[in-house]
Parts: sequence; structure tokens; C-alpha cells
Amino acid sequence: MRISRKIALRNVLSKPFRSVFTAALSALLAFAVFAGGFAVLSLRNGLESYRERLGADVAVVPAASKGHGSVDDVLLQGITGNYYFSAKDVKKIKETAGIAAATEQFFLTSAKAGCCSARVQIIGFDPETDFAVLPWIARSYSGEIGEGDVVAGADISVPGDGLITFYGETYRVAAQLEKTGTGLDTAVYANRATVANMAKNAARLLETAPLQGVDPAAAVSAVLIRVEEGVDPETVADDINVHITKAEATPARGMISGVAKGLSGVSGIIGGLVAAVWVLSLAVLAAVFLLLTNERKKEFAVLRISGASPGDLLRVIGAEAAAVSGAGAAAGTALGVFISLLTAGDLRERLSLPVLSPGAGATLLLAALAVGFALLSGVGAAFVAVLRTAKRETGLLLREDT
Amino acid sequence: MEIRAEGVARRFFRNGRNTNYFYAVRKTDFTLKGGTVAAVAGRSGSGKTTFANLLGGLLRPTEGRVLYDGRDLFEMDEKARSRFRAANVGFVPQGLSALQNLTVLENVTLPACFGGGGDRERAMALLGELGIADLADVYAGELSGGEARRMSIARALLPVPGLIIADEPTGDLDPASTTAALGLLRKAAENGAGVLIVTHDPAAVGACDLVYAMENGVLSRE
Ligand SMILES: Nc1ncnc2c1ncn2[C@@H]1O[C@H](COP(=O)(O)OP(=O)(O)OP(=O)(O)O)[C@@H](O)[C@H]1O
Ligand SMILES: [Mg+2]
Repeated sequence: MRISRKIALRNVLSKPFRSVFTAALSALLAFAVFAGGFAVLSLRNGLESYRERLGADVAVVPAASKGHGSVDDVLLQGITGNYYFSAKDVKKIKETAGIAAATEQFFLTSAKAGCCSARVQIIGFDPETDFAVLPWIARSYSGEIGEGDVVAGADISVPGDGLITFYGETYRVAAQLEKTGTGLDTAVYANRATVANMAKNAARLLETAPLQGVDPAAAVSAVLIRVEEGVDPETVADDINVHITKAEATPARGMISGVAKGLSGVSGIIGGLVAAVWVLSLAVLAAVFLLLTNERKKEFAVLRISGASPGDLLRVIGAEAAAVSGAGAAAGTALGVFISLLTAGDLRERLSLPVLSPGAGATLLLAALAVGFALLSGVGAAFVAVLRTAKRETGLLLREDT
Repeated sequence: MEIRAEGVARRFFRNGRNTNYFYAVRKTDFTLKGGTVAAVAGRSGSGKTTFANLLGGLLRPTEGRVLYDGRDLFEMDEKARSRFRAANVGFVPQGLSALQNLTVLENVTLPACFGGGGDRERAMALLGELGIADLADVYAGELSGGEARRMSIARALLPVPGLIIADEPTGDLDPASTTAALGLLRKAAENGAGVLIVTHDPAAVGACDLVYAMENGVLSRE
């Protein structure tokens, strides 16, 4: 073993309390970097998938549903109230100038009771006109979605036989979607006819039918709009809001920028926290090492007398700091990985922002980054603290050791 | 081997009545040849340790040069001088010097780790002559003052350096150990090394070929 490493190791082992304390600081730093980075990446991914998922420029919901289930709720949480457009309003919405495509959606909430496999949001889309759901489904399923077929969100647990029951009737799960990090991961998609059938069964089975007299075949919960090239979605939304009192239109850009704003706010706070932890742990580490230099003067003097150069002293210190900080950084990162994966779902509910954990590759990279960063900080702080002492003339060091 | 100090002086900052510095060692010319054991005696604070450090390349003179076989020690950069010292200068400091977390044997073989010579065998032989071979595997932190002193003498002698400087090497040794230590230093001189001993000890002074006196930073031949 190289002498610098041997000395370093012996020093580390001979001062267990000090070693554990400095390792803990590095662990804290690595944890902060990993957990912070993981949270920010998760939010970024969530926003990205939200943006992709949205697929529409303007979303229109019945005005009465305001406060019960806003567009945001629908798209982020999969929640909606039992409010529906009249056929007349849908027609009027579709006639608004500047619309390139419009498609209707019909939402139904399944009951928790025995008639259904789980309480989920069921979203019925119109296969004829859809541009928002099918492209998304196409990413994981290439077949047809026929009547009686459903497509399950990523968080729905699908039984082994691939069959799922709603209101007493079983449906085939044709595909399961990839994760979006939004409430839509707990939603189920089917074409309108299938959802209308579910609604009919519901009316038969439940005392308080979810539709309250509305014809499920014609009910519309939301209209998604894609505007013509060059048309401002904001203008179209305003137009609808002004002319159709029973509709509330929201430009998707507004929703995304709202989410993005929340995201950058949260990211900023996380970044600030990580920076604060960094500065703090660097300062404490440097202070600890600085306090130790006095104790080290004798050690340095002995090494210098034996022929060690200032560079050799730094190698000893570097090996020592690397061993301690490295162990701490690895432990802190491991803890960060564990806690981050454990609380990823929680984060989404707390922040009401889309959260989608980064993949294994990105997670590994982030972990390596956290370890490296904490390690470099520890070694750097140690170097800064001892540099002056290491370079001092041996004759002076000899006098100063006590 | 020849070590030569040419007009060497070392000044330190210290606020005095008229100046803000003073000389711990004043302009000194000094030559020590291989095969010779020289003693430097003098009162406490007279500048002995400062002079020993200057000669050993551990302290940069503010004036003058230190030449080892004609090579100016302080012309070398820090790293080169360190390597040069590892191989050519054995130094026994005045205070106790040990890496407490290493064993006695590991401490003694330190110079070998930094490019000086010597190996475990020689280290064991030196420890044996100094009467502490049985402590080879003991951690240095557990040694008595005299044992630690002998350990640092062994360390200084390990690479068979051309110059050996020992700052009060016998201060805390019993008569038998003193004899052993002085015997080793004498043997090194017989093998060609120049040896400089800073000492108050009459036994040590008596064993030297030349005796110098240091007074207020001025070195003179007795
Ligand atoms: N780094 C320094 N800064 C300021 N003054 C110093 C420094 N080193 C030595 N001195 C002063 O120089 C003078 C000589 O010191 P030195 O250690 O050489 O004395 P010494 O002869 O070895 O004494 P002793 O016999 O007590 O060891 C002393 O007055 C000391 O205070
Ligand atoms: Mg002295």
C-alpha cells in the first residue's frame, strides 16, 4: 500500500468520531444533491409528458363544472364532476372560427363497490375525431380499440387474465399506457360507445345514476380543440368564453405555463436548498479540517523531515478526505435513492404537479454525480484547509507543533 | 560529503524598540566535512535550532547560501529539495517526532517511502543497536520519551545520509542509550557522513571532534 494511503487509513480509523462526523456531512451533501436533482428531474419529466399528453391547444369544459372539476383537475388528477354539455353547445363550440379539429370526450367515474374492479376515472373518446388520446395510446398499443376494449393507465393494476369489470360487465384490457406522472395514470380509456354502455349499466345498477337523465350516447364532458396554423389558442378560448356562457375554455399553453411556473418555482426552491446545504457543509468541513491542521502540524513536520514534499502531504490529506467523504457520499446517495423512489408518488400529491421519475440510466447518472460532487467538495475543503500549512517551511512547522 | 554555509543568516519578524525584525542566526560561514562529528553548544534561545534547520534545508536563509557538495539547497524547488533531503540529510528534531498511528518500524522506514534509501532490515538493525528492537511493532504513540527519541535517531540514520543533524539527541536518554546513540553517530561519521550535534550534554560534547559555540546568533569555534 502506498504510504500516503496507509497513513490516511490509520488516521481515519484512529479518530472514529471525527471520521463519522465528516462522513455524515458528505452524506448530507450527497443526499441533498441526489434528492434535489431527482425531484427536479421528476418534475421536468412530468411536465414534458403532460405537454405531450395534452395534445390539444384548447380544452373546453362545462362552465358549471368550475370548482368541481376544472380542466386542470381533469387533466392532472382525472377528477370531474357530473356536468355535461348540451348537443347545441357542442355544436356552437365546434363552429368557433380558427378551429382545425375538435373532438369530444365523455368522462365517467366508476364506483368503488363490488360491481367494479376499482374506482377509476373512465375517459371515453371518439375514435372518429380523436387526436389527443389515440396517438398517446399508439405509443404502447398498435391494435384497434374496439367496442368492449379498454386501455388502462399505468397505475391501474390489471389482473392476469386481462379482464376488468365495470358495473357488472367485464371488458378486455387491450393495452396499458406508459406512465405520465399525472392523475391520468389511474384513468381508463375506451371509445365512447363502450363508455356509454358502462353508463347504461351504471344507471341500471346504482340508485343515483351518475348521468341523471343525460343520454350517455350523446353526453359530452369536454371538447378538446386543435387550432388552425397561425391562430392563437388564446383568441379561440376567449371567443368561446364570450359567446358560449355554458362553456369554459382554457388554452393549453396557459395550463402548461401554469404548471411550468409552479415547476420552476419548486425547482428554484430545491436548487436554493441544495446550494444552501452545499455552502453550509463546505463551510463546516473546511472549519473542521482547519481546526485539525493545528493537530496535524506535528504529523506534517515528521513527514517533511522524512523527505515528504508539500505534494506528498496533500496526497495524505487527499486520501484521508477521499476515504471519509467517499464513504459518506456513497451512503448519502444510497439513502437519497431509497427515499426518492419511496416518496415519488407523495411528491405529486403534495405539489399537485405532474411528477414522473427519471429512468434507471438517468437515476444512475444522477447518483454518480451526487457521489462525485460530495467527494470533490470534501477533498476540496480538506485541501483548502491544509494548503497553507502543507506549504509552510518545515523549520517553522517544527516550532509550531505543540 | 561537504556541507558549507556561506554568509548564512536568518531574520525573523519581531517588534523591537528600533526594528521590527531580529536575527536568530547572524551571517555565518561554516563548513563540515564528511567523517567529522561537530557539536554546537550554547544557551537557550541563542539560535542553535535555527542554525541546524538552515543547514538541514528545513528553513530558508534570509541571506547567504547552503551548499551540499557544491549544490545550493535553496536553489532547488520544494519538491526537489524534499527528495534530496530524503536521501542525503538525516534530521533528528529537538522535539519528539513520531507518527502516532504508525508502528515504530513504519516510522523508521518513512524516509524510504519518500525516495530516501534503507529498508526494513536496516531499520531493524538500527533499532537493535539502540536497544528498542522489541518495540518494532508497537504503535509509536505508546513509546516513552527516550524510546521515541531513539526511534527518531534510527529514522534519521536509515537512508545512510551524507549529512546527519541531531538537535539535542541525548537530552532524554539514559547513559547507556546515550552511549549507543553517540556510537551510532560516530559510526556514521566513520562511514563518511558529516555529523552535527546540537547539545548541552557534556557526554555528547566530549564525543565530538569539533565544538562550536552559539551566542546571540553568532557561531564561533571553541
Ligand atoms: N519562527 C520564529 N519566529 C520568531 N522568532 C523565532 C522563530 N524561530 C526562532 N525564533 C527565535 O529565535 C531565537 C533562537 O531560537 P532557537 O530555537 O534557534 O534557539 P535554541 O538555541 O535552539 O534554543 P533552545 O536551546 O532553547 O532550543 C529565539 O529567541 C526564538 O524565539
Ligand atoms: Mg533548540
